[in-house]
Amino acid sequence: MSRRSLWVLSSIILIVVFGVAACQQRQAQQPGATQTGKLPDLGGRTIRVATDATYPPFEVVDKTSNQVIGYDVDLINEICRLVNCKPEVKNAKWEGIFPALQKGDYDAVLSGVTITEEREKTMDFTEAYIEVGQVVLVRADETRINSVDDLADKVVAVQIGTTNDELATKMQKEGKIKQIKRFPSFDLAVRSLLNKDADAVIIDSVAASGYMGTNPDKLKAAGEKFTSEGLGIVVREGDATLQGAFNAALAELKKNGTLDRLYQKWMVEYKPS
Amino acid sequence: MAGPSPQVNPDVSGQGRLLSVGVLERAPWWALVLLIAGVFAFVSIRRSPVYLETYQFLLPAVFVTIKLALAAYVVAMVLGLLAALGQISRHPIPSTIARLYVEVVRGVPLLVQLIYIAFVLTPVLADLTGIRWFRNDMVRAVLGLGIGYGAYLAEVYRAGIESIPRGQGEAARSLGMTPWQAMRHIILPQAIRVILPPLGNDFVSMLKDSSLASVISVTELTYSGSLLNARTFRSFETYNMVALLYLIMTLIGSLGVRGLERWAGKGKR
Repeated sequence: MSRRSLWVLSSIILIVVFGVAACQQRQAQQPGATQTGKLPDLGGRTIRVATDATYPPFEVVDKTSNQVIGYDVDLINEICRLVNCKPEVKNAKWEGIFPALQKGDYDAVLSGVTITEEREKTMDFTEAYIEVGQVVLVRADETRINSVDDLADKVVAVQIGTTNDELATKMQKEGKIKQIKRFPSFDLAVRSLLNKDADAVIIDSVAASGYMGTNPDKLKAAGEKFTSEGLGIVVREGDATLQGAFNAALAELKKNGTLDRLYQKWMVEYKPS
Repeated sequence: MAGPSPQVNPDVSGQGRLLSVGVLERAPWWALVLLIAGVFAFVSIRRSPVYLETYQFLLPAVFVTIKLALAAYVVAMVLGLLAALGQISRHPIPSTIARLYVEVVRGVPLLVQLIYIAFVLTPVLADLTGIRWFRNDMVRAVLGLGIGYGAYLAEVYRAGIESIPRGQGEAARSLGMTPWQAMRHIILPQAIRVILPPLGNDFVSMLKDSSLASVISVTELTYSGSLLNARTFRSFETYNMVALLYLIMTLIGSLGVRGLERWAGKGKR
């Protein structure tokens, strides 16, 4: 063979070899896909998830690494592992988080969001991934407040726009709370409580534990949980693809014990540094 | 919050020349556009029950905003004057304190100062002194905004005072006045003309910065907007109305400042 035809032949062989190898890689991915064959496949797309990281242990900014960590972060990571997506968790302010979702700035909101009828009107939820109840948080040395019924002459602090805010407002109309202070985030509400500007904070039980953890010996819960609500992942109204994928993943995670493991990790063992 | 601007615009209303060539350029077209927009907004409020409800919910908060801005501004004007006089003074103690105040307060963002005063300083003061006013959110907002703006007003005062020719002060003292008398009777009255327009502009700024108090749960306009938005999920109508109400307040303020500028310009050589 001439030098030139040797060149051409080897090039063709190389191209064929690389082409087959590339096809092999794609085929190698197939078994993985068939393992999750029952679950929807989101094709590796990036899911932008908004969360208000002032809500331990669901989401909080880790002091050492400056990353958002928490139950919700682990949850979306587990979900994406099952339905093949890449989660991008963004810390966002609670106020305006839903309009931003609707506008398309995010694909989902995962931020300890309670499922309510009012919210269902303008956005879609997954099934509840955990149940929480609201609880009254007070200073450790508080003696006058033992339950949610002792707030008639007290000042209560909440985060604006939460179900806690709605409940407190309703209670105020019924004369069961004297004054409400509303803040853009729960850490300011808890700060207000610690500064003695408020007598109590109405907050979800799990976040209450989170704040009790970060303020050891300064806070306690007054009485038991007095409501029971489910938290869900929020997607845009009509986004059936994500809603279906997340629901399928959640069902699987519930079945294979991952949700229990996450609960154990974040609700029982987690002690913020 | 821009720096001090002691420039005074002379009166250019050109009295008696209303129908001359210049009227097309000098007519306030911007005001006309805004007026038309205002009429349009007014009509849509009357027609739409949603906008009407929004307006009714937010109106009381407008008065809170005005009260807050006024009270904070009074505090700022007093602190600013003291700080300006302190900086001018030749004694090391007042001038150091004044200079420290101005530099520190101008170096920290206003929001951070407000949060610091509301969540750190006043609770401690309330515990130490037992004065219950320190626990009042409105008082905290007034203190926070007042202290924050005082540092900027100090520079406005100082520029105004220093714009008065030295000859005035020298003449006053050669007549036997003490420095304080010279300041009070000769320099400050003249400086007022230079100081008032930027002071007026800063008040308009204060009207806008009062929105920061929403973070410490004062029921002013921005806070009420958040509340309404959280209740009704109608961000569009709510924030359109909030912005419109702020605009109305600041426009009226600005027109007032222009009036001040004309008064200040009268009688200048």
